[in-house]
Amino acid sequence: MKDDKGNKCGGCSGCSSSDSFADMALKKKGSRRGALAALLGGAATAAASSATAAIATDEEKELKRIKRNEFFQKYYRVMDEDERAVTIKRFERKSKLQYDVDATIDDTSARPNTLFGYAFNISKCEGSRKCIDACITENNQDRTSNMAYIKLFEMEEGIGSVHEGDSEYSHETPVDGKYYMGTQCFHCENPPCTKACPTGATWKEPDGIVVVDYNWCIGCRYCEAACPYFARRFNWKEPEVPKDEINPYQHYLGNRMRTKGVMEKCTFCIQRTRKGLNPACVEACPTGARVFGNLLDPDSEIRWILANKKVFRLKEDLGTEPKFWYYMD
Amino acid sequence: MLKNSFIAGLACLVLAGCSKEPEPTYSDPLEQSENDRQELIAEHRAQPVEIPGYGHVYVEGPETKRKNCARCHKPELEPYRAESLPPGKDAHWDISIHHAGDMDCFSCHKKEDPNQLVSVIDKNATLETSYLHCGSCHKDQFKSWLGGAHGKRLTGWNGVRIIRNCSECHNPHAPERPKVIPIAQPTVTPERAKRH
Repeated sequence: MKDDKGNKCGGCSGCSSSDSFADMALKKKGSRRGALAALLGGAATAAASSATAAIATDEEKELKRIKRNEFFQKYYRVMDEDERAVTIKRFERKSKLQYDVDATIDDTSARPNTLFGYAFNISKCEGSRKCIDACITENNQDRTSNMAYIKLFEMEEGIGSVHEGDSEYSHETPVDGKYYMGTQCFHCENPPCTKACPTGATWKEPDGIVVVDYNWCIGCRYCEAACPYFARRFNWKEPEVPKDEINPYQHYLGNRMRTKGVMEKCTFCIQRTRKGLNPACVEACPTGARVFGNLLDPDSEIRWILANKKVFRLKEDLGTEPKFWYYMD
Repeated sequence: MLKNSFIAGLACLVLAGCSKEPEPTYSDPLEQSENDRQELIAEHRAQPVEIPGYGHVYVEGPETKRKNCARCHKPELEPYRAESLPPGKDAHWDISIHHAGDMDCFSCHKKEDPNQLVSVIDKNATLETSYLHCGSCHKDQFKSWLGGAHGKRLTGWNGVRIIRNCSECHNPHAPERPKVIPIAQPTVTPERAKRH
């Protein structure tokens, strides 16, 4: 066994050479994560040089290297500007190699003076499911598992619990005597999911959006169990999106391509809303039953609704303070 | 010298802490420029809503030019109208009115100029400002529409607010929205997914 890092080990057997390599990696000054990366990197190059070098193309090698670096990258919140730029460049390259899509990944941070809120008119929604369709397309969700952040429930008038609603209706809507109620992530002001996360991979941004660092998530699904609104979704398999349907306008904390074994959820379309656009579901709604806005703007539509309409939130007694209100005419 | 500057610094801190900060005023977080606003307004052919207290609302204009009603609805042609059209086969055969029981064309349109609307509040409501006409009966909806709880906003959450006119979502002759067939979630077959 040979390694190109100049291991002086007197022509001994392979096992002793790898031991000394591990020693070297661990003694090297730096973080534990860095040492692990160096260790695994050495092992990977050794393995690659012995077995797969003959068949792997340059692009495959590059993709492997990118995936390896991705595995050892830092936590998004502690990265500095340069590290973020490098990471984003890597993801853009990965998108090109893996999906042949020229994606642009931005990392626009929260603006001052902004706290996002959402209102849903249960008198107006006619259950056309256009919001769900737009959401899946916008956010590059896995098409094979039918993952959707939004659920629309057809509910009997007079019943307020979504547990008694039907989300799999297939007939002309709206039906007389029924109303339609959509659920998604409510972006709680006091989110239980972020407290349950053992790695801090999910947190609330200053503009109120609860986000996930897909590379810091270990896939333990504690957050899914902690969410009282069933808003979180888990990737049980590698997400599959047809190449021509991938949305190339991506955000680091939003709709960039996920991998197997990570949590994801509605981000209020962070890639759109941080640029002043409405979320895809709001834009797609044919009735205007969905209203999105800035809770700190006294002239915003959402503030008018909160001041003038009968509003309620789900499971208010839990104290999670969701920023998602239902209202009626 | 060092001591003096330290005291001065401390005094600054104390003063800054005591002096009252002005009340925070809301400003556009993304600072939409006047140019962008004008572009959006032009793109949607939007007109401002001139109702006191609602100065910042714009209403989207129609995409196509209105037909010139006066071309046929001339006062001098009125006597011949009954002769030219057999009963039940008038020019607007494709319009059937399902709106509040006993309404006919001239409940809303002015007889002498059908482009003008008969309105309880605003005597000058045209087809472009039909929201004034609708709002004269549907007061609650009108209020909600201006406030933002009814109707659809066409621009993003930030900056200039351009909303749809009533008649863009509701057919004024039959305002109840028709039933829709909900779409299913998009799916791909395994073969299609493999192609990427």
